[in-house]
Amino acid sequence: MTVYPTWRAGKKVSAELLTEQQTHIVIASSNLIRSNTATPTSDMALSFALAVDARYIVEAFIAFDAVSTTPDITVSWSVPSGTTGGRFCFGAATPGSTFTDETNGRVTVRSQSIGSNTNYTQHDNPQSITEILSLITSSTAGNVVFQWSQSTATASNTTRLADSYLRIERVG
Amino acid sequence: MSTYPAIYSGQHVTAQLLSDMQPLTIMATTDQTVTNTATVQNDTTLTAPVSAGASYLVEIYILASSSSNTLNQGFKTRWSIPTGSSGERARFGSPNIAGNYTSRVNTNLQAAARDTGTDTTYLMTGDNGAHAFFESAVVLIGPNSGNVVFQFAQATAGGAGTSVARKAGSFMRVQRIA
Repeated sequence: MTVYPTWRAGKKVSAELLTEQQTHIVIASSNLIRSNTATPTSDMALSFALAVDARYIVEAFIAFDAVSTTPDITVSWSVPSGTTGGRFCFGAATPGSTFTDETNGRVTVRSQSIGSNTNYTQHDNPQSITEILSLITSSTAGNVVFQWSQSTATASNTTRLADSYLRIERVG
Repeated sequence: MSTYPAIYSGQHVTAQLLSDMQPLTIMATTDQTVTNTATVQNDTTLTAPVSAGASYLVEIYILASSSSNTLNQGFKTRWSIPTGSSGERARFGSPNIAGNYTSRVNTNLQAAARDTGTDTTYLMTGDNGAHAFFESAVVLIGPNSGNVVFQFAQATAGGAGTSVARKAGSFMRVQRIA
């Protein structure tokens, strides 16, 4: 059971502690377009620095668009070495499923290891993915970074849309 | 709108006040397994103290798995709250109707609401890793303090040696709102 920071009588209220108590929102301010790749790489607009020996909840609300139903989407995460935790994946069902379109489709409700690739069917209209991480960092500092690519490399563009965001809360 | 604690002009900023502003997060770092029973058991980690007369927003993110590869093996959940308390619990995950579930990456969605004490079953299989479920509720605590406790079991007792597990990485977030 954790809260962060821990307040006690007589403790100095500093800007650092109050900042650490706040929920942090990282918003992608512009679109990011990728094509001809099926290897997830970092989306540095959706990145946040993590402290060592700390606990975080990271919630990702990601919007995508594509001009074709062919490429689909693969997503993953980069975290500092030694980080453990859980990963919740909610979104369109895996490619090859009976997913029909973004407003009427079967879904994924799975757990996945943090750095593994997760595939979602991508239709040819904007759609959303929600992923949630519970992270426990170790002795190595670094960033949590959202990563993505097409599932099948095609020449047509796939776009991570602006206003996708991360919500990060330090909880220990 | 509900905000807790209320902060007034001239009020002293105390450790208690700052603590009351923080949501409580409980992160499971180990698995908990329930074997061969359909009677829900208390989750020994995902439990949080609550005060009489208060209100809380409670969110529980569950990673769950089954030892059985039988399609439609179910994971049953319920919440225990203090006597005299109430809450309507939203739930998102795989469905509880056989035939509408294929796998954790290709399934119909369960998006239902039930009170905290009503059983919920999510269908799953054991052959392809853990599933992810989400439940949330505003819980109005009655005259008794106590705990909000996540509970789980097999939907149907699967026989000797069969089990379901609430996995490490699951977490519970509790925010007092009144």
